[in-house]
Amino acid sequence: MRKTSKMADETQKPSKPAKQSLSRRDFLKIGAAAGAVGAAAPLLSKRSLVFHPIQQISGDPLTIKMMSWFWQEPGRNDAWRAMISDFHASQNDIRIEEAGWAFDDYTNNILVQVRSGMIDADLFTNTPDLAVRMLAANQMAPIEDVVEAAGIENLSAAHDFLRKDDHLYGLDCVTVKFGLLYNSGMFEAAGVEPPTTVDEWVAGATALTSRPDQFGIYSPHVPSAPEATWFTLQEWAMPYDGVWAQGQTPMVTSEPIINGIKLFKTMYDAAMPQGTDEATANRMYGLGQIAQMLIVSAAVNVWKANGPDVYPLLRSAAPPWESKKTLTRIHPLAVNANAAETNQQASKAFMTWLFTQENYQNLLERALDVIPAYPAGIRQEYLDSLPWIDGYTAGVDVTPPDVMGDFILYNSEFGRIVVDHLQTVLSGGRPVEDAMADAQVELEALGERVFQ
Amino acid sequence: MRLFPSVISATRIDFMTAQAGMLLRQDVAPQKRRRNLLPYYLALPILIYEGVFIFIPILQQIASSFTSDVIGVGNVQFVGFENYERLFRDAQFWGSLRTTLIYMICVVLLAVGSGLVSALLMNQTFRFRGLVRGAITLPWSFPDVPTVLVFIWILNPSFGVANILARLIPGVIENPKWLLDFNLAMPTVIAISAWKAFPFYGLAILAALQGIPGELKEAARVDGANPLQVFRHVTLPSIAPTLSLMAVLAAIFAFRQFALIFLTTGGGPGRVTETLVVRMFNTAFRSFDFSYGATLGVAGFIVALGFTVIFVIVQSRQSREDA
Repeated sequence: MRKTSKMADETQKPSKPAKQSLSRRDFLKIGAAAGAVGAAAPLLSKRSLVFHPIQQISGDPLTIKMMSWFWQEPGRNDAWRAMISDFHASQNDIRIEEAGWAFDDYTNNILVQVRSGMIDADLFTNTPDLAVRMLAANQMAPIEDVVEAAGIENLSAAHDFLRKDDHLYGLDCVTVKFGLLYNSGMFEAAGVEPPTTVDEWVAGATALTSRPDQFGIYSPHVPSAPEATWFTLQEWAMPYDGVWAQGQTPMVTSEPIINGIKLFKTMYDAAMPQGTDEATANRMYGLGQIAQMLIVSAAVNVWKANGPDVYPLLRSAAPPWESKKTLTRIHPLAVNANAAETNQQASKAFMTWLFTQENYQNLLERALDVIPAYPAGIRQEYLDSLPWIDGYTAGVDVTPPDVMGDFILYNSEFGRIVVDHLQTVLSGGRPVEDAMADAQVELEALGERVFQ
Repeated sequence: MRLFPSVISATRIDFMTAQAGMLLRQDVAPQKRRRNLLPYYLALPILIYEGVFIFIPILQQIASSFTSDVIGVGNVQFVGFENYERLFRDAQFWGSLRTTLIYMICVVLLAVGSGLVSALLMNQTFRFRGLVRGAITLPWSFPDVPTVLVFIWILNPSFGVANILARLIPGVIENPKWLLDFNLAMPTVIAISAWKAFPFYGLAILAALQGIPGELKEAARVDGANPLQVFRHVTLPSIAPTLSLMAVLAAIFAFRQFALIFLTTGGGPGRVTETLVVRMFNTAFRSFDFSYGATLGVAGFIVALGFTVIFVIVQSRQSREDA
């Protein structure tokens, strides 16, 4: 964490050195003045309500901590550091400090921090399921004043699950959508067209496989990475309109789920580099040894940063199934409800700046994201300039809460059970029906325990 | 094994110490009382450290095991012995305990056995012996994470180099799925763990081997013993206390092993390599069932305590034999 902070300092080169901590005198000054400004709030415009308390009180900048996995993600980290550099250049009152862990460890560590008392940050990013959990645990501060101050209109409906008691608790800072991202060079060389049906998809992936040099598709599956496996496996139910749970009832023995896992097994046997971890697979993809992945749109940015040879060849195909349903995950940025009031105000000031139309458009373009939190947040010219976007835009959005029912609150636990039994199918030779029947029993027991 | 002069020396030292103690008691009692506080002062930092970082967390963990707390959802509630009832009914707990025992026994046999063989080799006189001794200790010095990364690549079913060797075995026509196969995953993890640990035991056993007086072996040879008989009747009894100590230590280390198992298989495929420690982590930090994870932790603590007691008994018995 310290290392990333140092990197941030080196990258951002703030116009004024960030002060690490407030003196007691500064703190009292800020606290007293914040109270006074709060009392005078009705007299101030709403835009200044968010920003002024810090600016007016102290000559020293206030450092707030933003916790995210973004700092570890190639491409996205550069985009965010550039945005923060711009933010620092735009004012002298607030400095943003980086904190966090890589994606796979992020949820665990946040939950452990919550268990230990509070999240050690003023701002933090969330996966959809973590956001639900944080909302339930009252870790997020309401931020509808930010929406108003930033002039956001028509906030996407995907934010609905972040609303509680007429308050909004998070703003999406990256929406990722699953799609079929393929290497057009490898497809052309093998004479394979982008698939339009599941059968074509399987046939194409098989034709593109020539072990051990080339593989038709990759999806995470190694036992040591159940989180990554579950993250993508959820999408494999989409070809058959499957849902993993309805309300408090697990649905893993339903026909669509069984068919989805059978499809995964077919691809695993025919076209995947078995036993390969995600990091190695990503490198193989960058070297043109893997032809396609069912992967989220945000991953494209990783290839732009780490795979300069493969990036120009990347294209996306519409989901090769009739409904075109595809999982779309929003990742809200939230203000820590347990942070000091001044830090919450500063966090909101940053969010207000970030979500203002021009800055937000910059963020999306720098991060190579394609789905905005509100319609005016993205420029059509930018979208038109991306050759790999068509397949992603063709997908019909389905959110994790749609497919996980009440188990969205226990997504990790649910996934762990499913993935354990998936492995008995992939390597243990068990029929999918038997494995999922066992999983269903364990999931029902989980439901009884957590929903009692 | 000790020769007579050592015993005599020890007796003399004890006698002198007793004499000195009597003198101190008679002549300098007040100073002695002051001076005797020094050991307590010296022990104080470690006692505070252990209290804060070991005993309080253990007590907190025990307290957590009597609550219901799924991290990040709802409030913590006192549930009495509910988690322990669940523990005894939980087939996966007993499964992980069985997995732990299998892993532990196999690692102890393989690591201490390989350590013994390597120690016997290193105890021979040959050219470049120093170099070989250095090279043989390398696995132990490698950190866990790079070790696991290297093995994951070596064992990759698609392009791992281990497949070249495996395919030389008659009847093997497909690349083995080392870490994915339900039958191969555990032996593979055991082999990696033993490979990583054996140099430590090898070095300890080598030190014991070098402590055997050459006269004993020489006498056995003069009496007509062949090399195997020398090993069986002289070498092995001489190093037996060290071997038993190493076996208990290896059992404790294997029981606590987390990083190697977690990084190679995460406890999978399915749960075939999920030892108690890995299950504890998966329950608390992958399923976020903190209270039940704490209950598993208490169970693990009791088992570990058993091994530690055995270790202490073995060690004190060895000290008595040495004396």
